[in-house]
Amino acid sequence: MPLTIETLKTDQGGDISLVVVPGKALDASNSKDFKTSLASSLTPGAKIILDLGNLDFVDSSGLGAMVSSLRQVCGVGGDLKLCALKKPVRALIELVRMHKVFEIFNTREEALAAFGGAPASANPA
Amino acid sequence: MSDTVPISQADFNRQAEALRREFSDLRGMAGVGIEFRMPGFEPRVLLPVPPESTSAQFPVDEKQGSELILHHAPGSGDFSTVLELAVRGVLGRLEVERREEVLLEELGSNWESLDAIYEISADVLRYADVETSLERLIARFISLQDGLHAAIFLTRNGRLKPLAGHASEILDWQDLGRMEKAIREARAVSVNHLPPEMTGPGPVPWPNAVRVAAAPVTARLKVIGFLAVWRDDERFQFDAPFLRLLEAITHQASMLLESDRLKRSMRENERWAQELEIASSIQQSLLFGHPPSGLDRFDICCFSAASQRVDGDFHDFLKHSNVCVDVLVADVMGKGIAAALIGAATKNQFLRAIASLALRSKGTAPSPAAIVDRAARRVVDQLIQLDRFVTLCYARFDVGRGLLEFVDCGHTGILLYRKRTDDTIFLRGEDLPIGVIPEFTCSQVSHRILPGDTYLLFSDGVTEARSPDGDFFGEERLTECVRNWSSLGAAILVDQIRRAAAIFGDNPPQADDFTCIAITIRLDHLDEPVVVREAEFLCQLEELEHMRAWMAAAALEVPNGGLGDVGLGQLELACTELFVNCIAHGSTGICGGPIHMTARVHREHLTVELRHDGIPFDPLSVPPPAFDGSRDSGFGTYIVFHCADELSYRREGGTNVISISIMRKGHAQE
Repeated sequence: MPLTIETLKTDQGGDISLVVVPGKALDASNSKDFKTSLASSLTPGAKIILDLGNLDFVDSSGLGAMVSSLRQVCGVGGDLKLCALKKPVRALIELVRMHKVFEIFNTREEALAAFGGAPASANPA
Repeated sequence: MSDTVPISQADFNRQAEALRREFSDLRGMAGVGIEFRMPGFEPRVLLPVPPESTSAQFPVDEKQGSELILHHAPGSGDFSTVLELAVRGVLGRLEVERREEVLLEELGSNWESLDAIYEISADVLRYADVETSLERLIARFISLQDGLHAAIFLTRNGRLKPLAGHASEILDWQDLGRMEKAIREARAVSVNHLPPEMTGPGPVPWPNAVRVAAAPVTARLKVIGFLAVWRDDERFQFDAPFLRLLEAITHQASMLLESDRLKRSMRENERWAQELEIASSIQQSLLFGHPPSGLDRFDICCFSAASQRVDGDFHDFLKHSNVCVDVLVADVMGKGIAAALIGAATKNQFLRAIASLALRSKGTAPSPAAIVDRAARRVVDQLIQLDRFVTLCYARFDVGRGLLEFVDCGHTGILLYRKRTDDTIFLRGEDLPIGVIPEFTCSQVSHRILPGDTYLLFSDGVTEARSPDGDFFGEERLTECVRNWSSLGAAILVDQIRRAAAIFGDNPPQADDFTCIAITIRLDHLDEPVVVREAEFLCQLEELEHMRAWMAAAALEVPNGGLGDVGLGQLELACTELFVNCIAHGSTGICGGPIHMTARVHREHLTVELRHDGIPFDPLSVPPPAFDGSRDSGFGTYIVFHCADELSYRREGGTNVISISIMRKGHAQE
């Protein structure tokens, strides 16, 4: 799965990777690719914003891939935040209580602000 | 306690000579003298006593009353202190040697005693009744010495009654004279020179006895009697080894009596257990009703277990029609048979009230409030007299009218899980339990019923099940169970609640009565499908997108605007999880045979059936997921259970058949 990765600068001068998940679904058919792609771009201390704005559908495999990625990012001393979730995706994440595990923001700007990036009101959603 | 052992002149001389040898090193030392004294004998000078000396006394043998007198010249200061220490040292060493000698002597005779005890024990255990065993024990014991007599006395109403052996008179404790104190204090005692008032002639405990010894018979650390042994001749003193033997035999008697008590207690327990079993069966049939059959729109399961085999929980069902049923669940304060009897009486009054009101109402069902009011008025006075009360909930589920009507008299309320809105609430009334106040009144509460609703009626034994740490199972965990398992039907839900409560309590014996009734309002499957769609998909992950598109099209065919966004989202998610599960567990591994799907579109819901050849799939065997992010798998089954409004699984030959129903959401009016 080709991920679109954009590097953003924070106020403190650090880099933040904005990862946009392509396609409308993250499910058992593509979750492994997603996990592999994200892992390949991982660097120590990576700060990642995962933009799920394109996704209409995520199943347990897709969710598992995101949880696995979060653990990998944290494992290298980095952080991963989610943003722009559509209603069904958010409903799934809340159903399995992963909203207590992920930091979730309404927009990528809010997520960026939470990383100390561009000025924005950054209250976690 | 033992009386003074008589000492002969020869014994005294022997002891005096031994002490003289011990202190021979002091002979010739100026200003030091030693005397040996014993009651009944002339003092013996071991070292010449200096004139105008001061003296100090040192006990040698307390039983004999013997002592050593140390004389030394006045003003000898530190020297006298050293002398006294030396004397104490010598006497201490002699005491140790004497004890060792006694011990060795006892050990030697104990081998014979142990042999005798072993033989006696083996013999008495052959007899079934305790009286024969004790008689045999006494007989074998007294055969160890000529001229022995023995008897066992047990306390009965403050007196001492002979149970076995050579005695027939009932004694009082004071008849035992100086032995009473020792026996009451659980010590063995011997009297080798009995005072005349205890030897007769006349009504004395042991006629013509010369010596007597006794040891306490004990049970559960209490003295319950004693075993006495006596002689009517002067031979054989009751010395320490004999007392040990007596104690061992008495211990054997205590064991026989305790064993007999336990056997009788066990027989009594068995009899009680049988009666309890019968009472439990009666309760099952009288107090616990069974869900009626032929209820089209209900899925009902109930479970009730008493904390003490019988209890005061009761429940019953009354079917008015295929779509209307009454449920009564109640709990009598207290436990055991008394509570069960009150429960039976109360339930009887409810049945009478229903019958009586039904006759008057000419075909229409009397309201829950009328039934509760009528029944309560008949029992309230008796309950107050008995200082008991009954909490209850009487509920009518009428799917025809879409209405739940209930009366809640201090019971636990009704837990409702509404799938359509994903809400859980406790429905409660405000009436007092029956039996609290004489003027009973009740009010009826109404609530809308919707398909997919799950109602749980339960006793406080469910929420008050305790963990080993003392925490309550509580309403929150109960609610979680209902949310997790309600889609799989009432029976599985009740079973999972039982399991969860048992696991929470670490499987202890349940402390309180446990009643749990689950009622699920089923979707209307009798309603003919508007449309039936069938499709076959390759068992491949690449088919997921096609499958969801097909599903979405079917969902749109539900009349009046389709399943709705929420319903469609749940359907897609649940079917994706089930589809992926088919791929993972296909009989031919990954990419097995095709997956057949049938979508039945009803007016209010959509039912999808997946058929696939594969290894058996037991949804209940899947462990719950980790909600803390520590695992990235294991969510699938949990998601399916929560998305489905109804879910069933069956096996047809080598085929897994899973049926999932999702109702339209977002359009229904509360």
